[in-house]
Amino acid sequence: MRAQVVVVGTGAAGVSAAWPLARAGLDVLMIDPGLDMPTPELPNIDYLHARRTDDAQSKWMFAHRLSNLTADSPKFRVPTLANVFSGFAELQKIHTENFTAIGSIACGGLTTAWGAGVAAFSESEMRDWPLPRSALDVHYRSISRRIGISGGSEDDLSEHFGIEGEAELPLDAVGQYIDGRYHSARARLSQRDFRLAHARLAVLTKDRGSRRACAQFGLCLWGCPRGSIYKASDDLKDLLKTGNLRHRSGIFAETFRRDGEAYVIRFLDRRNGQRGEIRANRILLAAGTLGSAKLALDHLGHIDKPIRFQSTPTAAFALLFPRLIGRPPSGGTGLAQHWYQLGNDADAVCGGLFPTTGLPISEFVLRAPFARRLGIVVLSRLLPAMRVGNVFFDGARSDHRLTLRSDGSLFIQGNLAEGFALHAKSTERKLRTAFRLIGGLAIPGSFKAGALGSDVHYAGTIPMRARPQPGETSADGGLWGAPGVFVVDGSVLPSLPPKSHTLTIMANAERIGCGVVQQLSASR
Amino acid sequence: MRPLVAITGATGYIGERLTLKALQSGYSVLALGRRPVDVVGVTNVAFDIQKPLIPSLPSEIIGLIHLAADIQGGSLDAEREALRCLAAALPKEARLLFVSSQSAAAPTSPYGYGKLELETEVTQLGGVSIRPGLVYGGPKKGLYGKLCNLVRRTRILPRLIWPRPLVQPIHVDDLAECLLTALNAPHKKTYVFAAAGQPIAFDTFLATLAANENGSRSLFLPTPMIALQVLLGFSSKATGNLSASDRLASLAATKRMDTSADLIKSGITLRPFPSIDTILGRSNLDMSEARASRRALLSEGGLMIAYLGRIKPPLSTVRAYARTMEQFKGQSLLKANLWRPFSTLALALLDRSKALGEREQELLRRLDLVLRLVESHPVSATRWLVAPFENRAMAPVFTIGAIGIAVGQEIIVRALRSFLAPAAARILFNNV
Repeated sequence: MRAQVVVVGTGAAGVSAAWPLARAGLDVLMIDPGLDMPTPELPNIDYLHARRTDDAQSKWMFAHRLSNLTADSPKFRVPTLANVFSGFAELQKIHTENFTAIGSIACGGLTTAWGAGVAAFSESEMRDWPLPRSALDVHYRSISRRIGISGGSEDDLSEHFGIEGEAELPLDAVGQYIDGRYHSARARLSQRDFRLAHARLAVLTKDRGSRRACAQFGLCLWGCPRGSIYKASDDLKDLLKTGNLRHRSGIFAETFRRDGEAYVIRFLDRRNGQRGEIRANRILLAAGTLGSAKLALDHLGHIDKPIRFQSTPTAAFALLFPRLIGRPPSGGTGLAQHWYQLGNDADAVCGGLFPTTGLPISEFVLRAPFARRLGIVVLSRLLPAMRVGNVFFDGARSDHRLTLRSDGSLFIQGNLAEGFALHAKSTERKLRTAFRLIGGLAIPGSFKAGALGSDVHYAGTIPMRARPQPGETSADGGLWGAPGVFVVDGSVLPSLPPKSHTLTIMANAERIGCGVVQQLSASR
Repeated sequence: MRPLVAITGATGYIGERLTLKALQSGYSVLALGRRPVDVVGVTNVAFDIQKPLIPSLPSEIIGLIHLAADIQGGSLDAEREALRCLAAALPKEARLLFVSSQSAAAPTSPYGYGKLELETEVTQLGGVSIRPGLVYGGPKKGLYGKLCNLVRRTRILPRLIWPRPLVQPIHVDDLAECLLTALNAPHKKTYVFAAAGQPIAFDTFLATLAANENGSRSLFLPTPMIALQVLLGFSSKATGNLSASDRLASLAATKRMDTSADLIKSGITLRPFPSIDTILGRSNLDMSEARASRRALLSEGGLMIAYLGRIKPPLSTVRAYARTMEQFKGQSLLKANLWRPFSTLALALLDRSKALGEREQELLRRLDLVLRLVESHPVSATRWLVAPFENRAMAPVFTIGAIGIAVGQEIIVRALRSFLAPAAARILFNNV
């Protein structure tokens, strides 16, 4: 196989980098290791209705497996998303210690199962970048237009998001209550550096192509049956329509090497077990923060030497609004309806408030200090008056190590930076007070730190630097020592502020893609 | 790291059981086939014996068990090519195990000759061939499934005469054990391994299956062997599926295979083939054991569903529980037919108790499974999401009342748990 440009990976970064290439009429080949395995179909009605009427709901709700329900995200256990997460650690040969390595080898990558939160980085959050914030402006705008963003605008988090929603999604009963209470306590909360607003989400409020507008089905956890939530595989379909681009699934890029002016990618075809090669003039690595790092380190011969990278440590808690007890569960989007920010600068944290209706009650029963039979009674009554909140801490609070071993496996050692426990404790205290002011009681004992890595926000394995060293990239995404190879995904983000970073990965990927187009047209 | 073994034909009758057995015995499994196997611990690699290509196998693989066979009556060349591809893909130290057939011992049919030819190929490739007898037991698939179907549909069975053919049955789980043992046998030696039980008449074998299927004895009609072969020949021509009749005919014509030496060497004792009397008497032997074990699982599922869901256990949910359990472990943990109020209290005492033994932890894992099964039944949606809030005006009062009662019950259960948990365990757990 041959192509002018090969994009390794079809997730958010891959498709964003591919758009400028395809528009410029270049010969582009996109590859991913995905194998399309059949998954159960979701009903095309709202969650509460489906639950009452669908006799076959056990097929899509849960995987029938004998295992302890664990404390990480319920997403990882949903049969409809099994394709997204399965096979990643095995194929990439990842071993971990104190780290949960989540990734995707499926077509469309992790966007098939994401929380759809979007935000732009601020100037100060990009102080470690070798380029000005303004270099991303045009790309933030074009990506936002392409994926469609709903949610608030001109509110208390406009600065945090750096991006406004086109239209609002309706709030459920709890959401409206939170809105009202926040409004009346706003002055006191702002003294405590607590700000709250409607989340910005990559969810459609109007039909667009094959994607339908959000109808508040509340099936978000299982993957939207209407396609309202953006996923990279939708983009890939549109990219293929341009006619300049080819896509091959089942292709796992194992290594690449220089061959004269070009590169040769050696791959494993997972559909027939054969190995093969692709010749390309340019390679864009978009295999994810771990996958791209593996390819880059292998090419550089960087074996058995640990490199650092970041993730955003997380915690989760349950909020009860006592005034709402007795209200029935109401439908609505299952994604975060509100988003908050607490504190400033290095101590800032942020997070979303998620409705509980579209979550299985068993997920809560396993965490409650009740015999299961009694836990069901208590939680089925309380959940309609509850929200689940999460907290993202600054990536600088993590300090992970990744090592490519000589046998081709990746070893990841998860670590927290010093002082994290203290910071988490004080954050918990401040959040309790803030939420009390909006009528929410953080349930005692519910504030739990997530396993390292379970946030799935990884970055900085091959960071961009003004003067790149071996194992780093330049401002245009070019990999040190490999002219013509560009890294376009989360690997290149030099730091990870506590906020959604997908939009930034996409904007940066598009920026690097545009650079590659310019370079190629100049050389012509 | 768990040792990695590759299996072709992992979705088939023997392959499915072998995969589970391998996983239970601490292996990781790499399934080579056209269809993926969706079981935790199994990695899939595409492979098609009709269009064989050299698959890519990881270097840490310790062996490959080749079960896949072309049952559509395809060419022998393709099967030989498939063997060569597999052997070529194997790392040097890894063992190639070929699952052949008893018919290869003294072939009389094209099927048997074909298998013998493949065995020769395997020997040249440095592999080991296994000759199983007539495989039975477990899920009703493959030739065994076909025979079960046959005897279920008719109450009159042929008593084969002239000659009265013998078969040497082997239970599918015993065969799986033989295969895993052969995998670990000392290296650098190619040999043929006979895996089959004591010879019995083929009609006795069928009659036993019939007793298991129908719960009653069958009538026999003496049938000359030649007539059956003609009959099967016709039906196979009609369906185009050569293998069932061919394999049956070749097995039936097979001479007795002496297996004791191989079995003693491998240290495996095969379970005896059950007699019709034991099956009809529902005693604890093989196939009736599967039934008894399913009944126990159904009863266990019912108890746990009633405990968690406070509902009359829906049949579909109880069955889903038994099916899932069979897929993983297959043994019931709780006594059957306990008095519900009694078992509910005992379960509450063990649920979330602190000092946990192995049985108790297993019970909690099963309760989590049941919790998910119960929640995904429409009845629970109504009971958990709708009913508590139906009376709008009184809902806050009812809600707080219900929570208050539950909290009170939790306090009582906790108080009792400290000294009654051991008694609860004695009441609940069976002694197996």
